[in-house]
Amino acid sequence: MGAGELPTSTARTAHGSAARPFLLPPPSTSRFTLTQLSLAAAGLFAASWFLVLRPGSTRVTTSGGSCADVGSPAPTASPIDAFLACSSDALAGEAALVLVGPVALAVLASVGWFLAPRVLTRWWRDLDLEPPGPRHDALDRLAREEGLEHLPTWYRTVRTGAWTYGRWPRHRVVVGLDVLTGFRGDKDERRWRALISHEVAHLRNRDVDRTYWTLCAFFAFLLIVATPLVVDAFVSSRVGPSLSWRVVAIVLVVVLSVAAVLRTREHDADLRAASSDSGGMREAIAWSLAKREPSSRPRWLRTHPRDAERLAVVDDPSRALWISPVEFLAAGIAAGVVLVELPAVLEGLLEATPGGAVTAYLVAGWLTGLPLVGVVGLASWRAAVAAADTGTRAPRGLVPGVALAAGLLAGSQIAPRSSAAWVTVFATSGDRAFSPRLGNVAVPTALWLVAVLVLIGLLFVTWSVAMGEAFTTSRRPVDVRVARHVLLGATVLCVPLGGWFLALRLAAADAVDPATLAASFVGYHALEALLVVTLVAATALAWCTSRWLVLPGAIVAGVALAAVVLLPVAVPTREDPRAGGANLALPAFPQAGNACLWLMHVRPLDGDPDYQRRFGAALSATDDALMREIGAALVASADDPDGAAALSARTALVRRCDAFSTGR
Amino acid sequence: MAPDGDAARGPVYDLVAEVLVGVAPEEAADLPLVWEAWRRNPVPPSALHDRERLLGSGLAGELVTWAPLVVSFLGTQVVGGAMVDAAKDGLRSRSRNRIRSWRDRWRRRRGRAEVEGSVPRLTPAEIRDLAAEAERAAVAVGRTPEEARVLGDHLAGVLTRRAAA
Repeated sequence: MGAGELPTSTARTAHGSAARPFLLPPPSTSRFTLTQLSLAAAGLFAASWFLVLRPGSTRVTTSGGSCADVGSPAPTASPIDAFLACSSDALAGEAALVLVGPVALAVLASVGWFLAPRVLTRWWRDLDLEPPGPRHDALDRLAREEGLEHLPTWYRTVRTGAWTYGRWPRHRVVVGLDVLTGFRGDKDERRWRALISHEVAHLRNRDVDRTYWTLCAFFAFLLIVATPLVVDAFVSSRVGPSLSWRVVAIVLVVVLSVAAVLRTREHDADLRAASSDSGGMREAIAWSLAKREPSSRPRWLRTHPRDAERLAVVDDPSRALWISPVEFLAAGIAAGVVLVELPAVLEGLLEATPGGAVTAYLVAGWLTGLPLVGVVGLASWRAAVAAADTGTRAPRGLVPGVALAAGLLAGSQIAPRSSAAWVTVFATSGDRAFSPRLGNVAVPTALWLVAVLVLIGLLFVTWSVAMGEAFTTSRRPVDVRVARHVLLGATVLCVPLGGWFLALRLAAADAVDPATLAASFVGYHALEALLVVTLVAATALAWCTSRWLVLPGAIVAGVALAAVVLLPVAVPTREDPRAGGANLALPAFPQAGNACLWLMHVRPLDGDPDYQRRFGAALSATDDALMREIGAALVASADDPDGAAALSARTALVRRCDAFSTGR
Repeated sequence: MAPDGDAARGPVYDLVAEVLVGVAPEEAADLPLVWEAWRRNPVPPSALHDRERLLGSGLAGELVTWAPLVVSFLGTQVVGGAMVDAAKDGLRSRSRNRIRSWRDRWRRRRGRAEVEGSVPRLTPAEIRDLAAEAERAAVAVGRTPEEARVLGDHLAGVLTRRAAA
């Protein structure tokens, strides 16, 4: 059953207007998405750490000496083509290895989720099947009245309370005898009935499988990611403290996200149960509130909300739909970590594609944008709908937008990949083992990057809130609208997000200034992509909302983003410190590695045909067979420096130099 | 699952029924169900209610009826042997109770708790101790002190009457 088919709950607020907490997927879905995002980020890095970065394991899989052995190419292939094919395969394999992290987490979580019902039934021991009879019939009747299609199996226990577990479609509801003996199916037994309705509401909200999967993934995360990472970081390298506090930070984000999932699902279940009873849920919560002292555990670590909060939300459901800047901050952190790790993977898979790095960042921006929109976009839309329903002021994007930007920035720095200059830590690290640490960036550039990120956050949240109003006017099914909005939002986000993280990486690696960064974007035609995407998004927005007033807003947002990227072009580009190398005479390179140092520190291949010809000739006299082949290819392609042969030769040269720099 | 019938009941069941009728007479009809469930899975009062069970509703256990608490408390005390030991020794200490609780938990794991006991005659001091213990157990599962005192008073009254008979 889709979200759009769920019965829409309405509850009166204190102002007398109706709030619709289930018009859109409820808040627990956003928290669930956020947790998955955080877990995926941590999994990516753990795999990168254990399977790629650590000394010893990299030699097996990455491009290295074995690919550079030109003595054994296929008879039909040139040595350069053979080297490129070999190294591309190795890099793609390395990238695929990194995916092992999130895949392993997902597999372990799925196995745990699959086995959980059987294990828990044995573990609890004291569960008895509710025998057929009037009480069983009353329970079934209640579940049907609540709208359940698949009736659960009812268990009873001498313990108190009630809870739900199992796998779809065979869920199990355990009801304590304290509740069960008070329930005989009579609608006057409102408190007892409400407790059982609350558990049925978890099934109606479809959060039972999600929650158990999340908990299994969390335990898998502790087992195969967090613990091994911290231990190994201290034992095997000198980046221990720098890496470990980041791992601890990610553990904290995951823990808080999981606790938020558990808390939010209780609010959702309260609201769902309250939507179909006549005050029983409210009475049960009020009873609970009156009966006990509030727990002293901090709110963020609680797995259940306080009774007072629950009562307030049941009284005014729109409270559950308000925007939480903390949620935006956490979503930003998780997305920031993913946007550091994921492009490295995609770059390896797109190694053979021209412009692979930019494409990798745009694709990573889109892929990360999907769950990010599922958190912050959905939250904005819910808040906009609640504001429209209750006649209150529409939410503003300022604080949530800044929180999102702050989260993205923090995530980029919390990402374990930012914890070291990997090439200096592990001699075998390739150039793609980058470290996007903001501390490596010049202060003016860092300030520019931060300003751009804040602007991205503000514009996106403002745009999202505007999109949320579409839900109050469109008549199309909610599922379709949510899916379309998420796709659209990810498309709008992919260019600014991908572009910003690429800019951070370039700035951190090469200390380039804003103007150079902006110029490189223009060179990669990202500007055109930005404008096209914005126009498409604006048109789609207008089409799906039928609110043409929103169109100018979207265009203004797109133009503002373009201006942010273009602005530094007006600033004079800093002179390349290597520019003076053009005046130096090219020496001989008896050792091929020296040629690489010349390229890195004196003069790169800059498109000058004569320089390319002379450099190729110098390479032809080195001690490395592959470099001699590359030198010959550079000489032969010097008259067409933009041709395919020159491109292959230059790519092979970069990869061979990478192998030299990492000692392979 | 239906109760085994009268064969499963005995002096302890009678004691529980007598106390429950005093505390919450409306729950007497449910006693066989609760008793049978507890006999097959004899959990102590402390295990009845986790304040914030990870995946439970999180609402207070004070919605509970009295029967599970009375059954669990008296069942643990008598079937688990605490009252018998107390009658023999005339003395109970908290540390001994703790050791006994571990032993009982181990016995439960091994499925050995299906032992019906007899209710010993207790001295007035032992009755006072047991009533105080019952009040503590009630408060621990979320009852107010006033409600807990009702349980303690009824238990003391029943045991005193039995001792005098």
